[in-house]
Amino acid sequence: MSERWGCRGPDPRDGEQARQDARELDLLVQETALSGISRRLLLVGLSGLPPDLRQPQHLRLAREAVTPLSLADRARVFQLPNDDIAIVWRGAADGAVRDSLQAIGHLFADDDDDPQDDDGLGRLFDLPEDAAELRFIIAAMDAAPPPRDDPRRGKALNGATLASLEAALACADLSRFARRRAVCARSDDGFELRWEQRTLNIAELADTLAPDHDLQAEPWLYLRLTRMLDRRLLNLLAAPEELRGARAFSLALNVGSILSPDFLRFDAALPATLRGQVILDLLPADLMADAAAFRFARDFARARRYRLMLRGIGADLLDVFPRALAGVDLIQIEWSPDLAEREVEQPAHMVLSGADTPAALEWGFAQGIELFQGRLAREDAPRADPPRMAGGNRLRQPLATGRRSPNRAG
Amino acid sequence: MADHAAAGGSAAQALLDAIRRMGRRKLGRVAVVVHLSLLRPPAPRPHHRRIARVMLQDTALRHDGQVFAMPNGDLAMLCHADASAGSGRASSQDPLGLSRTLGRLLRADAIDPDRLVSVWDLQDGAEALLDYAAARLREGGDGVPPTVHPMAKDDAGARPDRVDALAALIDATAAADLLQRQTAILVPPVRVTGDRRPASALRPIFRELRVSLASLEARLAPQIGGGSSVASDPYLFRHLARRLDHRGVALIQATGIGNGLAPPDGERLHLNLSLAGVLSEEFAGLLAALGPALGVEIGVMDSCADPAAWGAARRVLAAAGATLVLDGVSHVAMLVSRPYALDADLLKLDWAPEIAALQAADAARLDDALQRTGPDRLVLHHADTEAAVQWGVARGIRRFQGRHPDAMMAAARMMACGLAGGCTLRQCMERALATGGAGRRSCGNPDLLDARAPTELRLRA
Repeated sequence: MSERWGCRGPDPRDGEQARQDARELDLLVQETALSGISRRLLLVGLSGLPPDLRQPQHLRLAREAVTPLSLADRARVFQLPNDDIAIVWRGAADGAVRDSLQAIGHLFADDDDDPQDDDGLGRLFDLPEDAAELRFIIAAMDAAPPPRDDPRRGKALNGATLASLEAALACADLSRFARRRAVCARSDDGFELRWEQRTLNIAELADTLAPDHDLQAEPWLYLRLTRMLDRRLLNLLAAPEELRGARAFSLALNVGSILSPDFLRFDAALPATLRGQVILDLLPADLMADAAAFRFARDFARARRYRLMLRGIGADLLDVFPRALAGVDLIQIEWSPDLAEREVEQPAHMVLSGADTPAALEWGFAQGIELFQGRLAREDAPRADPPRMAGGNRLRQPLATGRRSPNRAG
Repeated sequence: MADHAAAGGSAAQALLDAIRRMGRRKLGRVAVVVHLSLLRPPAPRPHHRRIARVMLQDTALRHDGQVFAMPNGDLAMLCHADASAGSGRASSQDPLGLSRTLGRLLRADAIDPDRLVSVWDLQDGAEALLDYAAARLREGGDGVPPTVHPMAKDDAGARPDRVDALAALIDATAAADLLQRQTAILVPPVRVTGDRRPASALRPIFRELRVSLASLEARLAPQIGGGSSVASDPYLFRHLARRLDHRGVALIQATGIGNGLAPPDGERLHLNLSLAGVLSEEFAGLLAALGPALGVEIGVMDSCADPAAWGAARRVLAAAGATLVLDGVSHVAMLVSRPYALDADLLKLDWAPEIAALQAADAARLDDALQRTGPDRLVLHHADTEAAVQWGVARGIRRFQGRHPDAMMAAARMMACGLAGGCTLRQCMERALATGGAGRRSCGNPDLLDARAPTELRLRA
């Protein structure tokens, strides 16, 4: 299951149309080569963007951005199977090319990026000279369309399905879906475990309880479902002996879950040795949904000696949720290349999640962040000396990226 | 013996009986009363009661005590000041520590934080406690405050299957029955002392179109029964809002932005949309057609749930010259975050009566946040009373939306309308909110109903 949310799966009809477009473009290229009639082609390489930026709305905006070129003589626009867009026209259209490239650059650039820098998304071909190379490119994309997310995407939830799922979850034994994910601190020898995130494996749970559904296709219904998952996780942890000898851990919860009877039962069962060792992770959107309840839950949790963390804070939200103002102990920053030129305050109170790449680790180390979560931040990972990045550390990453599951990963 | 099983009048009687049974054995005994009845609505919400009760029970368990739920919603505990050996939970506190903790927890919602928790040493304070219990007994009741704020009724959330029924109803409902409108106004700057120029007229700045979910649910009640409103569940509500986008935009396009939907020249039309709605093809046509005459209101929850889409929406709207509004910002959200850093053109702050009664530290922090946002970027929403408008004006806010501006506009219309003799102010307000149907048909002067402010309006000095 995808870790992302807020996106829809591709419409199968779109895929069929794209394959048809690819065939027609191939025919046009062949025809040009045969006739010798000059044409130009702009290939907008959206397939090079991360999946987050290839959602239907992004593709539609990209199509609109090349509108100036579509007005050129004999222009045709092709939507290709790998999300690339090709525009073919006849004659001179330098101004329209420039306008289209600038529009695309603006669309996928950060506010402070210079769109003139963007030469990676658009590539010009001259026909018939470049016909062979183009036919090769078209064949490659038709043969192996890149996976958008997860081929197992199923039906989206509706209210009735959600009601049945909630009823089923209320009495299902979820112990076999319980998982732990490490949060590690940087040490001289690499990384050492600091605490574990206790979570449920949503992907396996979905496969079992709703095999033909994509639980995250409707993001708000999924968040509603997480309330029930919170309850069940809390009940699981409140079982006798469950937490005997347990080490420090964190729980990703809804604000309302902290104020629920289930949390109070969990709290009553928490061994004295773990008090002060449990971190409650909250979502920023959940905070905004009911800020008064958040404030009360935060103060209650503090009174019961829990620590609080605001999780999933990307580059866009760093300024919106200063740690001290939110009154939490920790901020979990979600790595994306957008962060590369950002600096964070109070790095000792930050956890960098998504530490899956050397670039992420390098940025975290440079900021003075000590706590990490991700594939490269494990006790068994190699020493924490990230390789130097070639060509500096400025990574272009249009728009914001790295949206992940809001609550917990599968 | 931790919790008295009964609540309400019988609990008040039980508290009285327990005090009397102590007789002379009051040494070392204390009573803690948490006056939940003195919280400012919508508190006490269910979680306030639940948490306070559990914390009291914890301490009662360790201090050989008993908890009573009073008829007015207060919670009372009788216990020993010292802990009984070998019982209770490690997390429990002694009665004095508990009273301080509860005081801190509930302080933000208290009308008078100093009167929130009472602690009586029963050796010298038993009489006061007896008086308190007797007063509660006279009140009777069932342990739940007699007037319950809608938010305080139930936190179990609405049933998710209500969403499907509502979505179907939305698809089958005519535009005029679905859409309401409300005009926001700009008030003139407050006059500087000595400036004898007259205040300029109130100016309508935008007209918001929205769907009345409450009336839809009321219509559905016979089929789906009562229970919690979908609007009470932020997740179900946001989900339904996504479904509403398509219908709302399609309706507006189908009516040609006419029939009472269109604002007069110089005012913007504001729509409530989800981020997916803003980035949809359906909306692109409307955006191209209206451009700077369009404002889009997006909930702060949406913006934080998908900041990448928020950024994309901001760029798309800016390119078209449309206005982006961050909607649904509570004053508490302003105290725990910086919504203004989301960089919307306008930010809608929800008025709540408790804003006027914030404790000094919170009031100062809110004022600071308002200044950082910039009064010119703020719209005080749900400004239903004169007090709300006055509070905003005192802070430099000039944009208001709510029942009070509605009334001011209606009063001006009635002064200018030759057919207003048989109308009441409330009727004129309600008809202005309607986009069609019986509401508008009852008005003999619909052109005036749709017009800009017909005459100069002045704020009272």
